[in-house]
Amino acid sequence: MVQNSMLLLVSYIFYGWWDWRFTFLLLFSTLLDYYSGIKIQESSNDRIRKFWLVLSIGINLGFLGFFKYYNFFVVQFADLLKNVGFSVNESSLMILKIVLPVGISFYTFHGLSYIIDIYKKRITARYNFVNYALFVSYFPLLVAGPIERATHLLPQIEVPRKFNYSLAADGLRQILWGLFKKIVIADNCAYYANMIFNDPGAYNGSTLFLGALFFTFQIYGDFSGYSDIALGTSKLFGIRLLQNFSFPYFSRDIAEFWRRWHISLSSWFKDYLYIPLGGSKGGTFMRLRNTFIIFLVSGFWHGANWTFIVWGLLNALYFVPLLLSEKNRQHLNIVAEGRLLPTFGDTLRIGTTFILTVFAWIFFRAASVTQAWEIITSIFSSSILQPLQILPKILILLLGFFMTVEWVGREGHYGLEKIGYRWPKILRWLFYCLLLVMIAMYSGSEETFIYFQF
Amino acid sequence: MSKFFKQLFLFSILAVVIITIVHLSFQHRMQADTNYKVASKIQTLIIGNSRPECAFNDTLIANTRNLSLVAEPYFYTYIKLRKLLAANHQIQTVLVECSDINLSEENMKKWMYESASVKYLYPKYATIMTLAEKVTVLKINPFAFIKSFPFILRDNILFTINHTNDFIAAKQFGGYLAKEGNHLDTIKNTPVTTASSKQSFSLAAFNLQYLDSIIALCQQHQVHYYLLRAPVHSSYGLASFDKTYDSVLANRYPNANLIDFANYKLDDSDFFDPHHLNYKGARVVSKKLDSVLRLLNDPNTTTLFDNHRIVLTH
Repeated sequence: MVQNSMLLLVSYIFYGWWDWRFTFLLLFSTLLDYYSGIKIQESSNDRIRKFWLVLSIGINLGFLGFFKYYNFFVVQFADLLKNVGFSVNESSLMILKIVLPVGISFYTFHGLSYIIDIYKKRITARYNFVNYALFVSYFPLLVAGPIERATHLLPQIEVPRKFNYSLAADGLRQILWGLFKKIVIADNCAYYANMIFNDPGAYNGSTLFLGALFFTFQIYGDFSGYSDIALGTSKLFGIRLLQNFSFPYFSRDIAEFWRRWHISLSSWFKDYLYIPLGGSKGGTFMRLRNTFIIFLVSGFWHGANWTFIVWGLLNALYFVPLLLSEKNRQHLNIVAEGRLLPTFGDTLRIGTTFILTVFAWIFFRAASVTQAWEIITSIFSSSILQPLQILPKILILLLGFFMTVEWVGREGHYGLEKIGYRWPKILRWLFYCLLLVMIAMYSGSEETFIYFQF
Repeated sequence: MSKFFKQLFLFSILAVVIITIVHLSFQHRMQADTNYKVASKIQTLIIGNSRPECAFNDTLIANTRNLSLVAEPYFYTYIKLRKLLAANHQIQTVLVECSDINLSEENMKKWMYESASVKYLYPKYATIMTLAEKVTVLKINPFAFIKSFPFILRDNILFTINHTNDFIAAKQFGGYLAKEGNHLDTIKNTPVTTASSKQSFSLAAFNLQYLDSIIALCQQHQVHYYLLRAPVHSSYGLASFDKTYDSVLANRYPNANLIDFANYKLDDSDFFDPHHLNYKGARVVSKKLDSVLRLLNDPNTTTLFDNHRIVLTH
């Protein structure tokens, strides 16, 4: 109880540090789900149970919609009116100048999973408010996930935890790797990706493609780096969080990519949206419909912008051939497991999937769909054959080192987990020090995490 | 848990030792191998802040190198000049920008003490600073001093990896900055809040202490020095500061000669903003400075200075 109270207090201070006013929103959301959960459990009347479920989901999604999507819908509605001939005074549009509460998409989904699981009788409602509030606001995962499940996290919160040396040491190692991904890889890639994406007209096709590659590594380093830091930090407190990334750029098809990228969100959508919609049961039309819904919602979850929706749609289009040929679950194992190098076929499949992903990321990063299309058009023009206008050799070397560690460590939970496990301790520590030197070299630029905005 | 903390402590010690060794090795290599030489034909240096940085295009001024740097207080200028004069014995003349902003304590507080300035300037000069100078920066802003460490480490490592040993070519020391465009119209109507328009004014004692050092350094190397004022637009209101300026120069630097472009007649279109020239304006005043320097270097010229000043107006 003392452990959890302390962690709860720290979590609220952590959240309030950014903007104390939004702690009240977090508290309200927590109280609503806590009370709704109890009401759903205590009632045997289906109508009352459904009432509390709908109320909780409605209010939670209402907050999310208001803060995240209100302005988007107002602008789209105004554009629609303009297109059908109405005159719209842009200055009279009720655009709200509000800041998106950091992490709202993440803690809202925590709460929804809890309520839905109680309604579905997968778990029982918790009466201990501190435990439940900690489940929602646990600081390592509060602002950018992973999106936890009540079934996984609550049982760990409810038992007293003892310090575990191996777990804590593993946590520090994971934090180190997360910092390397964020500071050395993502922030360096961000510099060049921003330079290229902020003025794409100034660059030829080959440089634009390089910019897309840099963003591909930036978003992976940034988000999976954050996840590693979150998971590692949590291990110091004796709590294991859900794995959020599992070497997605070594995927052999897009279905495998989505089983390895932002796993906690993908599985959330699968369990709470895809399966309730019918999942892969039913006819071809149903399966296609459900696939498009889940990818479009996933795109829209990332932000109120058509670029995210097109990104989701593009991924759905990549997925459809696998679904129709029923090959979407053919790569469930680890690529080249037990071997140093992949087969030629696997290399080809990994390369193809990676390139498809790079093109999808262009939509995710571009300022507009039009800009993304211009970039892609330029990449597919003769200027792709022109020499690169930017060639940051040191960054390319760093990326090579990074992907080598990731490849070698792909059978673990994160790149660094098994690296040097059998080396003498001093050698292993020197390797960690090398990483620390690189982190120290590139720290100080204070780039924020991309997923904080979601 | 004690085992964990013991291991963590040992690892931290190892990490600190390794990072320190890496840092010192690269710093040593930079100090030993870095070239601070300017071209052998260069006999005149221009140093100062963003005003001379934008005003004097050194490609138009014979045998001159402009190494001014934006927002650089005399503390760092002195460190730069010390290195340059030691490495370039052919230098005969140094032109040091000295205008209202250099004398204003309020302005120098920003350039010398604020975190952004420390993080920008200190890493540039750290490798050529003495321990005492580093301690000065540490005392001024300990937080920014510590936060500058990654930048120094990175600069030193990348500098070495890139096989660049030409410190000046890497633009660490500044250079002529060609500004494009003209923002005068929008800026003209906004009140200027630099030293010249301030009701209360306090002298930048710390900054001027290093101007003293710059002058002493020039004398030590037997190098001619001149104070220099770059042009400013009439809307800047420099005239209101003239009395203070004249008094500081007369009392503190009675023997210093001033080359004064402050009221040089230029078109509005020659300005980037009220106190910086664009490349067009720079072209005009650079040619003028070139002719002035030719006269100064001509043994037949008797004297150009009237009461230690050349006031250039056209």
